[in-house]
Amino acid sequence: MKRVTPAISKGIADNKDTMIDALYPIMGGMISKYVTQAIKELMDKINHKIEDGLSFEKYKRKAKAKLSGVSETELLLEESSDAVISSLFVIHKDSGLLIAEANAEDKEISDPHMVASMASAIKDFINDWVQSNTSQNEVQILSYGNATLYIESAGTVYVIAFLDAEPDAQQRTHINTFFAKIVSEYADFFQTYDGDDSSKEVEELSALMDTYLKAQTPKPEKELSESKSNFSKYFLYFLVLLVLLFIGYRANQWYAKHTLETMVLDKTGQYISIDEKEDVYVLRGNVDTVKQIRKIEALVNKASDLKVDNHLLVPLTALDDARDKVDEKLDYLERSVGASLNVLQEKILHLQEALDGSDVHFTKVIASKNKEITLLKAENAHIKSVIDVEDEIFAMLDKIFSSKPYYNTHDHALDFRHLKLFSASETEYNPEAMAEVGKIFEIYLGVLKTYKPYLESITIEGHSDSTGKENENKILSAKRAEVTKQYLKTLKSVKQYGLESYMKMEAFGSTQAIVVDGVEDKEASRRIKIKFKLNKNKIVKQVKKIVHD
Amino acid sequence: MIRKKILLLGDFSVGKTSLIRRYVDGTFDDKYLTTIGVKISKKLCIIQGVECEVLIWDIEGETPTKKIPLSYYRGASGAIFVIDVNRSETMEGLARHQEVFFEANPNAKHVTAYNKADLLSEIQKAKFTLDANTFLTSAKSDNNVEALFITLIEEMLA
Repeated sequence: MKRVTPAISKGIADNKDTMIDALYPIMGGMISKYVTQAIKELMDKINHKIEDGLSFEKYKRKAKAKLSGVSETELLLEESSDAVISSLFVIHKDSGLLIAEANAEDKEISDPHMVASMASAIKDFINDWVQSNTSQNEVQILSYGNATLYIESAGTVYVIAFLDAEPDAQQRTHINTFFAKIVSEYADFFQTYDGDDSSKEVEELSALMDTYLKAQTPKPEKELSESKSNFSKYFLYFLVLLVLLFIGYRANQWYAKHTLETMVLDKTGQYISIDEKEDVYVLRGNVDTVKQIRKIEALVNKASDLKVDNHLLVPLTALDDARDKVDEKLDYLERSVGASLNVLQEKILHLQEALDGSDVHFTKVIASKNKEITLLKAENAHIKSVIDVEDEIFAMLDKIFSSKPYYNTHDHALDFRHLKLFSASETEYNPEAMAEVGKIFEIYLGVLKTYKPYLESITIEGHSDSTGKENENKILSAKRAEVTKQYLKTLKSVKQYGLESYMKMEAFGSTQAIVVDGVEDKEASRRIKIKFKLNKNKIVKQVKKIVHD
Repeated sequence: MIRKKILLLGDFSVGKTSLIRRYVDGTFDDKYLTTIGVKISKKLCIIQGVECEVLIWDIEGETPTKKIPLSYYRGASGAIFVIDVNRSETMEGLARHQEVFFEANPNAKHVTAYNKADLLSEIQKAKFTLDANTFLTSAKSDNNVEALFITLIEEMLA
C-alpha cells in the first residue's frame, strides 16, 4: 500500500471524526465481506456441533430435518437468529446527546435522553478502561439479563440498537449496513449538531429508523424444500391416523365404562370404578352393604354383554358405621321410649291426682247433697207441718176436748150450749157460767198460741133462740157475742199471748138454733160458740219462705 | 427543543451533588457516581421563551487511584465549577478542573459556585469578590442555586 504523506496524516489526525464519517460506508462494506466469511465459519462450526452433539434436541432436529427436507444446519441457524431490535438511538458522540430515536410498538424507552447520556457515559467509561488496558477496540456489546445494547460507532455519532438477545454476525451486518446509510446521508448534519432537535433532519432520521424497525418482522419460516419426501409425509399421516384410532378406541372404552359407572351411581348411590380387562368388566370399589354388591353386578350384567369380575367390597368401617348407626338408633329409641314412659307416668300421676281430687270432691258433693237432702227432708217436714197445721190443731183440740160436752168435734169449736149463759131476751151473762167459759177458753188458747203465726182470727159467735123477730134476735146475738168477747179479753192469757187483736165477734141470730127431735131447746140456742180460723196466705207464705231459704 | 450538556466540576465534598438535588427534575441513582464516576441528571427550563433541557453531568472528583475518562468532558456547552468556601484547598483544584474542561470545550460557558455559604457569617461573605458569573451558594438553604444554573443556561443559549 502506498504510504500516506505526513501532511495528510496530520490532516486526518486533526479531523479524525470527519474522515471516519466519510469512510464508514466503505468500511461497512468491507466488514460485510468479512462477516460473510465469518458466517461460513459459523455454519461449519454448527455442522460440527450437529455431528458431535448427543441430546434429545439433536434427534428432534434430525427428525424435523428428515420430515421437512431442510438441512440441520439451516434449522440450527434459524433457531439461533431471533434477536429483535426494540429501539434505535443515534447519539452525538462527544456530548452524549440523543439526536434521534425510534422504538418498536409498545417498546418506548422512558426518558430516552437521560438513557442516551448514561449509555454514552458507560460506553466512554468502558472504552477508556479497555483502551488503557488492552487494545484500541471500542466496546460494541453491552448485555444485562435479556437486554443487549449493540453499539456501532462512527465519526461524530454512534448508534445503539436495543435488542432482546445478542445479535449474530448476520444481524450485525444488517444493522451496520443501515447505520452506514444513515452516516452517509446525514454526515454534515451530525458534524454541526448543536442540541436542537427541531430540525427536519432529526424528523427524517427518526422516520427512517422507524421504518427500519417496522420492516424488522419475524423471519418467515423457510419454505420446505421441494425434495420433501412423499413417503415421509404419508408415513406421518399414517402415524397420525394410528394415534387417532387408538385415541378413539380408548375414548370409546372410557365412555362405555363412564356410562356404566354413572348408571351405577344413579341407581345405587355408590361410586365404583369399572375397568375393562380382556373382555371382562372388573368392578372395584367399596359399597355400603352386601346387598348392593349383588345389585350392582346385576345392573352391569344387564347393561353390557361382557362378563363381570366382581371385586366390590363392603369395608369393615362401613359395617361398623352401620352398627354404630343401629346402636345410635337403639339409643335414640331407648331415650324416646324412656321419655315417653316418663311422660305417661307423669300423666298417670296427674290422672291419679285428678281422681283423688275427684273422690274428695265427690265425697264433699255427696256430703253436701246428703246435707241438702237432710235439709230438704227437714224442710219437707217443716212444710208438711205448716201445711198440716190445721189438722194438727184439730188433732190437739180433739185430744184435749174430745170428751168435753162444750167441744164440737165436727167443727172443732167450743160450743157452750149447756151452760145457760144467757137468759131469754137477755144480753147479760151468767157470771159463773161466763167464768167457766173463761177457763175453757184459756185452755183453748193454750193450743192456739202455738200457731199464732198462722192464725187469722178467733171468732166469738153469738146465737139466740127463735123467739121474736129474727132481726132483733140478730142484734141480741151480736150483743151477747160482744159482751162475751169483752169478758174474754180481760183474761190474763189473752193479753199474755197477745191475741186481743185476733178476737172477733159474729152474730147468727137464731139461724143455728138447737133443735132436738123437732123441738127447739131454747136454753141451748141462747149460746156462745168460739172457733178459730187460720190464714191460708200466711201458711203459703211460710212454705215459700222455707223453700226459698 | 434545545438540549445542552453541562458539567458540574469540583473536588470531593464541595457539594456538587447537593446542588443538583436541589435543582433538577430527574436523576439517575447515586450509585452510578461511584461506579463510573459520573451521575447524569436533567432539568427542563424555559429561558426567554426558549424551551431548553440541560443534561447535567455530575463528574466525580478525580483521585490518584481513580481517573475520570476525558471523554466525559467532551461535548459540554457549559460548566459549573464548585468550591467549598470552608475548605481553601478546593480553590486550588479549581484551576485544574478549568484547565481540563476548557481544553475539551474551548468555547464553552461557565459559572462558579462558592458553595456552603450558609456556614459563613455576613462579614466573611463580604470578603468575597463576586462578578456576574460567580455566586455564593448554599444547597442547604437554597441560596442562589437556581440563579447559578439559569445564568449559565442563558449564557449558553445567547
